[in-house]
Amino acid sequence: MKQKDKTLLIDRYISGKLEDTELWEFKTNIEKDASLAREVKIRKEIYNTISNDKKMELLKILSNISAKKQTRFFKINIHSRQVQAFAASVIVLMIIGGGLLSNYIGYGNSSNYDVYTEYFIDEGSLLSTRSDVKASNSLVESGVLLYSDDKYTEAISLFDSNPENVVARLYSGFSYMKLQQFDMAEQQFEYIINHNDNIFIDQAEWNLGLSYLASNKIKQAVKIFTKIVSGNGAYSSQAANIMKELENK
Amino acid sequence: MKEYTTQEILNGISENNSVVVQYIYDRYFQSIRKFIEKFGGGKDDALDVFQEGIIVIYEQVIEAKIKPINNFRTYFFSICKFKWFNMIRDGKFDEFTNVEMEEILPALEYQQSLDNLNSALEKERRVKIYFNGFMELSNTCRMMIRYIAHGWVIEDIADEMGFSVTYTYRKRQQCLDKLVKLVEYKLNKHNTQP
Repeated sequence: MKQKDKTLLIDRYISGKLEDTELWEFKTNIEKDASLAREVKIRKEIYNTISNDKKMELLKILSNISAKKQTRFFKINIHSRQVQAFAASVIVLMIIGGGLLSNYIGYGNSSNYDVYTEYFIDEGSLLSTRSDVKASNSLVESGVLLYSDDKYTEAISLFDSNPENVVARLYSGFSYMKLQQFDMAEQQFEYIINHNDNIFIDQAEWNLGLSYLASNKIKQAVKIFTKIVSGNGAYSSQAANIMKELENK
Repeated sequence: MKEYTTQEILNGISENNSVVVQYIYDRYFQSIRKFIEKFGGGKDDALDVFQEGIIVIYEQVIEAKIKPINNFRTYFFSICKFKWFNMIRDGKFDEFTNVEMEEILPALEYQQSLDNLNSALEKERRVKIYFNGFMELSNTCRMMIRYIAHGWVIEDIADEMGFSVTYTYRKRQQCLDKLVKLVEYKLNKHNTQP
């Protein structure tokens, strides 16, 4: 059975959409092939887990508990706005000053850019098929494939022709990050965040924070990573780790 | 710190109230951690046991399978201890665990058979592995797999995400392959621990 067919067949089997003959054949295959049976079981359990929105929410809360503990030192119980602003300034100055001092005395081997490169996830690494650009129907998809082929400038020109498409904006941001044009990357992620009606906001916030970090805009980076940590989203534990690294620099 | 009654805690868990979950963590995690360290585990083990204990109680409350309990702490600790003893039952702590087991079994057996509890804990262990694997994927993959899990067809997913059907089809397969590999790795890793 081809891998492509197998994936589809498993989904159709799980959702009860196989025709009688297909079903009989698939069940026979499951009986013969232990690894297929195992994959079907795992996929079924995965779908059950992921489609249970309420339970997923609890799992997110639980997974963020330990991340939150690490950043509690940032959440001193201060009620006055002036004192809050002062405290925030002190934290930023400590981070910047600490970084400058450690660089000066020779201990600052790990720059903010290093932290950025450690945490930046290349979305294109998941795209293994790179020669099908002609087969694609949309400019956005062509842009994504160009991005995965490391042709960032060409990809950006396609994304620019779809300024209202959030996927184009997202991959445009990634492309600018790859080109180390972080100011331009920030504009793309800010658009997605301000757009506010799409599924990529957490990803945009995370990469906006990384762009700030790469260009040494520590105050903005701390602000957005603090927001990510408190938001219980997908990147909160990684954001907490970055905050900890900034604190230790 | 605000104090919560047992019923408020159970309601909080079933309603995904993060304040209540944080309260349970702040209140009980260190004791669970000390207990697990006493029996050969570490902080990460304690966190796993804590999380799975909460999820098991969540399921019991949601499915209305929980009988009235007087003291949340006693019940929660019993589940966590039972879970850890099962994980190390082939280890070297049997002579100690037998004594501890005698203390926790009445509270557990009052609720359900130990076989049922064992199955529930095993199920939630797998659920947590699926969740962790899922969260390691890129945002695009997570969205795509969520749509698949909710029964969306490829054409609708493509439309929602602004991709072509061909690309969505390929991407979906890559995402699923990656997730299954991640999950299988984690399941195998867990099966060989401790």
